[in-house]
Amino acid sequence: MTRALVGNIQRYSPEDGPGIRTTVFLKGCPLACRWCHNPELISPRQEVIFSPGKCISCGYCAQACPENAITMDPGPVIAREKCTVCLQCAEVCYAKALTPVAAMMSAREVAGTVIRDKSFYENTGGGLTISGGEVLTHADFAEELIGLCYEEHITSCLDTSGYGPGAVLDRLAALPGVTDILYDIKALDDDVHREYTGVSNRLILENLDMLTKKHGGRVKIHVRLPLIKGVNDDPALLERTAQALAALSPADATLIPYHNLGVGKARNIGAAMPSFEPPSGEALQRIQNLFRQSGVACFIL
Amino acid sequence: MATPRILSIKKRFLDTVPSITAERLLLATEAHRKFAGEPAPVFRAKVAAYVMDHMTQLIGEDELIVGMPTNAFRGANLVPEYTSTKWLLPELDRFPVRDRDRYHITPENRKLIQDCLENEWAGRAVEDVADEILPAATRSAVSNDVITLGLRTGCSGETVPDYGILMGKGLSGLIAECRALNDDEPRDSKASQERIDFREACIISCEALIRFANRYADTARAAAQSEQDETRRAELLEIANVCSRVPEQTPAGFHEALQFVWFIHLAFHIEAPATACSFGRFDQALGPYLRTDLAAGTLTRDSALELLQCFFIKTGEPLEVRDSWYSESFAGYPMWALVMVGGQDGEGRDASNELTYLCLDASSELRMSEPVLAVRIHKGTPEELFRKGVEMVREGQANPGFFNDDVALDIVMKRKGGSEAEARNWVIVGCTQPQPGGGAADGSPDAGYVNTAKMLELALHNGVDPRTGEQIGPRTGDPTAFTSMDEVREAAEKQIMYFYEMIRAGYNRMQICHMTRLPVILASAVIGGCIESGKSVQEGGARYQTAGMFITGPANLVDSLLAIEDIVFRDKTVTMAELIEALDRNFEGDERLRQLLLTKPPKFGNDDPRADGLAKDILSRISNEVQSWRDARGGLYSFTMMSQTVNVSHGKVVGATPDGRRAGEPLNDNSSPMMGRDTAGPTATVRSVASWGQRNFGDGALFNLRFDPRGVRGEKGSAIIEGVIKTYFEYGGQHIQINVVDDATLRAAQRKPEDYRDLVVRVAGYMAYFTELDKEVQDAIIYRTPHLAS
Repeated sequence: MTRALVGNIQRYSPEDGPGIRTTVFLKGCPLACRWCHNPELISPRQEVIFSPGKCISCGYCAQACPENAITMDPGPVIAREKCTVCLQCAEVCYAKALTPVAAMMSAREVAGTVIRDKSFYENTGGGLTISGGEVLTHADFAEELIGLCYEEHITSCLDTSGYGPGAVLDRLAALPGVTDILYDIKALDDDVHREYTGVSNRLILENLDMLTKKHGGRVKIHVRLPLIKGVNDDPALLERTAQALAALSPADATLIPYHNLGVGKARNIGAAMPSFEPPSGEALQRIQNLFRQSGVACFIL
Repeated sequence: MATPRILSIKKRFLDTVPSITAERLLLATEAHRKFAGEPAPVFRAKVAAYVMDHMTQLIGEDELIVGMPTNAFRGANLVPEYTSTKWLLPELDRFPVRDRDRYHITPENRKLIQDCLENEWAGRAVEDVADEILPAATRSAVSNDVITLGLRTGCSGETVPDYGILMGKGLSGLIAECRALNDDEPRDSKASQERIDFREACIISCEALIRFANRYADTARAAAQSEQDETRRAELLEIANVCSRVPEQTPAGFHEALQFVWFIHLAFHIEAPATACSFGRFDQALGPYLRTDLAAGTLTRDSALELLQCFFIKTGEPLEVRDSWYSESFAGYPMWALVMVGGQDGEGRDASNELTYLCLDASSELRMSEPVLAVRIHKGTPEELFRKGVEMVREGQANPGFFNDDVALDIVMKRKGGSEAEARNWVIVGCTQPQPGGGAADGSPDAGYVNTAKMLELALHNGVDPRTGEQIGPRTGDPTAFTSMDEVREAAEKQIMYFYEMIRAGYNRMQICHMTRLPVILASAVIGGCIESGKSVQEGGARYQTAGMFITGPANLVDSLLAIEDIVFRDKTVTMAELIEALDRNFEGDERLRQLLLTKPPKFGNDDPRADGLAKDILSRISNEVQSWRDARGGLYSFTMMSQTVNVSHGKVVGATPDGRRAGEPLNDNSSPMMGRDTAGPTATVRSVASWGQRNFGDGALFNLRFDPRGVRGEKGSAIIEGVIKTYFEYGGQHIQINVVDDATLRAAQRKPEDYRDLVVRVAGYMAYFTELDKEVQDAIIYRTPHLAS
């Protein structure tokens, strides 16, 4: 039985594929996109996250910490270099202001929750979505979870950066029950890609090519484009992207304008993250038209 | 787009603050002097007839459907036969300025009202009688918001005739029935004479209403004479024509059918302070008339729509003047004027017709708080109809509500004694309560509400109300001696049943008071069984009768019991004595404990099997018990999970509760989880709410679900809302109504009410203009969890 660190099981996720879905967020991602909206799920290790809005400044966490890593001002300030993630602070935090980011769960436990909304999936064409973190780094876990759901006639959608071994992606995409894949293109320009995600986009583009050719007939591939003003919204670059996508003919493309939800979350796990701007509404419209003119169905989230 | 006529009538409606006028009061007072000494039913009929014969008649500019309940547009009557001068007199100064449900009163009217009330009505209302006949403990429980008790200040109302049958007979038909039955009476006993008196009274009422309609015909004709505009003159002459035919005779077309229904409905509100009278299966009753007119070309779809909209706006005119407590607990002038559409016919085939869709269109364009639309959903409901209703909801109209035929049929056959055909023809009587179709059911829905969060508080104080220090409930044992959650629960259930018993005893006394003093005649004449049996609805004349038992705070009770089980008995983090002390201090200095109670134990509404199981178990024990009781007429008590906004008033008197709720905060809304505690998304909420065991509740369960509009955009949003409704119904949910509105909009409406005057929200089984609600009720709606994907 495979286990993984699960950041969240989000029931009622209508934006993560068709219909009403339950999205399972796994912890651990090989990319480190500077605009990531789930920065707490990048590290493959357990972390403690602080939610300032919930804190009542009772100070019990500071007393409980065996490393003396917490000082109160007026809420807890954690010296992360001292923190061993023993979670004793979270244990005494009744307000749930300090909580572990994830829980170690078996695929079977996760499937137990996913199955509860089966009737909602049936009535809306929904199902399971595995997101992250990066699903390709949890392939065995994902495979078991997809299989367990399929036994219950629940279909699955993968939400991936595409950064992982092609053979793994190929294997997951071929699983019975996988109906949809949400596939991120962060930037077509490799320099931009390297600078902002920490890795090259070559593997990602190769994998997308493989995926559309080999599985495009059976699995719906939805390309997702996070758009950050001044970073990856250059019109010439996007025009090339649109043409490249048109050649691959995915089911559709969705533009995801930047939002700064990740900035606060990064702060709350003791990391730092820059703040960006989304493209303007007009710019998004123009980009949408660009894709549509190239023959790619395009939506704005 | 609505026509200029409709826009102007709507604007006039929204621009007019309701007012209280003296006319009915003065006419009824004269009538009381004139007819005193007649047998009760005849007396009541003659009073109503005298009012109808003498009241001022107004036809509003541009109106096509005519008849107002008072001598002012959006006017309201005081009916001191029911409501006591003890509060009416001091309230006269507060009506125009109170926080909620305000009424304007002109100085002349105010003087007339004050003199009349002071000189003629002191101590004579049913409310005054209630003070004499109810035990002191009951009165104190009511005034301390431990329970409510129905029929103390108003009539039973909730009249839902089968207008199809009624229009087929015409009032002339009812009169003929009364005469024939009276001719056959043996006249050899008190019972026989009472039947004769009742039917005589019915004849008096029907004849008075026919005269009233004919007088409207005269009013319209007179207006036509002085009318300069030729088109309007023709309209007025047509109105005169219609009013001279209905409700005496069977309508000849759709316009006459609407006017027929309106006159009957209007008369309920002149006769008595009626409330929650609704129109039953409107599309079934009036659909055939529409079809004929459309086929004959006498109406186009547009002209029919305009007529229907004229009628719909009318449904918001009648008002019931309520005291300050009821105006908070039933906030926003609700009258529960409900139009039910869709569903199936007697053979189980889909029954929707042209009028079904026309009703949705009419309402969608109008966006007013009355009438409330109810769409019946069954397996054969056309996708087009379902989707149309869902689209309206998704756009934020808060209308229609959706009802599950599957559960309603079950309830009507198993709990209400209806036949299969009557079950397929089921109607709502009240807000969500299913009754056999055919117009022979009296719901008398509101026997009373038990504040179950208060019951837990009493159990934790051995029956003493910590607010007053008085022993008001039974001594259920020293709470610090309890050793398990089950013992706490047992104590709470004993308190609960003690107070439901108190309601039963009190309500039965109130029913007797109404049956001997204030039978409501016209509203009985139109309900199947009354004329045959020669008895009013109040005396048990209707063929089917139930009385509703309500509940507030059940989710708080369940959440609190689980918190006690986990934190006191399992984890032993605090002792029972420490917990009770913390509650009595309203968690002062104990915020950490409050957080633990909030975050650690499971909460109802998150698809947690333990919470849901306990909820179902407690509710089935309560409902099984109260549903075995009979009222003074022999009708069964019927349980419902409905709070209206009594959860706000009842919350005020309950101290902090072990679920982490602070003292004075509202209790959970209707059958929903406690506000903000359902954090696992709407699918989990829906599964929990469906698990209360709704088929066991004779009067159903009202469920409010709120979506953030960002989560349900576009076509996909509609598919998702529809999917949620379908799934809820598959799980056995009986009713669902959906608000799609975000916090920002509601808060903006609080700040700048003038810009949001037509923002309509679902409160309970009714809708209200958000800006007409007072702040506490507005906040309670904002606190309802707005479901949004991450």
